[in-house]
Amino acid sequence: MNTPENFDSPPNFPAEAKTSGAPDQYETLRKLFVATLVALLILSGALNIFFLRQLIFIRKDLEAARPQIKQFVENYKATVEPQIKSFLSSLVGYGRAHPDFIPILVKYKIVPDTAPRMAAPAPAVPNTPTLAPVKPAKK
Amino acid sequence: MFSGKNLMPSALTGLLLVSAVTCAALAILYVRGASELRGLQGQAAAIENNRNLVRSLANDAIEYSKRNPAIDPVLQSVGLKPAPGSPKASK
Repeated sequence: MNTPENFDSPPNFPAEAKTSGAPDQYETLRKLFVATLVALLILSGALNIFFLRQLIFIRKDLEAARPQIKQFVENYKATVEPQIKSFLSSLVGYGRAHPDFIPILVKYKIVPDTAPRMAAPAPAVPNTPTLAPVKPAKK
Repeated sequence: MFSGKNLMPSALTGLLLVSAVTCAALAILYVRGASELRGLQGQAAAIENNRNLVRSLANDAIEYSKRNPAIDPVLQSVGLKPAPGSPKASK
């Protein structure tokens, strides 16, 4: 039995349909369908090539960057971060004894700004620097 | 009954399906790889940012120490200033 969905074999047109040009229209539609499939196949192939190339590049980048960044992060967490924390805690301790140092700590958001405000609200300070925690990368 | 011409749409549809599935798989792998790379780069950037901030804070503290030398022991403890009597230059 003919199934119009798969286009594998032409349908049996009734006599009146044959005279009205249905077989020609069917053939045209079939050609259009094949042409569309070919176009989609070319597009899909091009996308495959694009993604494959990108994947190769990114794998190379990852292979090169992963050990370096991991070593960099481990070194930072093992040696630099404790030094920074120690330095910051020394500065905070110093700031408790010397309030004139507090503005510097406030500037880096190491201590909260607890200075009394004036009547008018202070304008927002854009891009105030702050020490960000280092989050591990997603795998 | 089924000529090669008539089989063409089915074959093309099958090929297109395979190609689309491959494309989706490649896209997923690419996005995962890019995300991992971005995460690693973000980590390195965050560390570099922290280091720059601490460097800037250290410079401010050194500048402050010119007005108030009481901070010198703190700076000397991390090597930002040479200890008294030491020939070492500050960082």
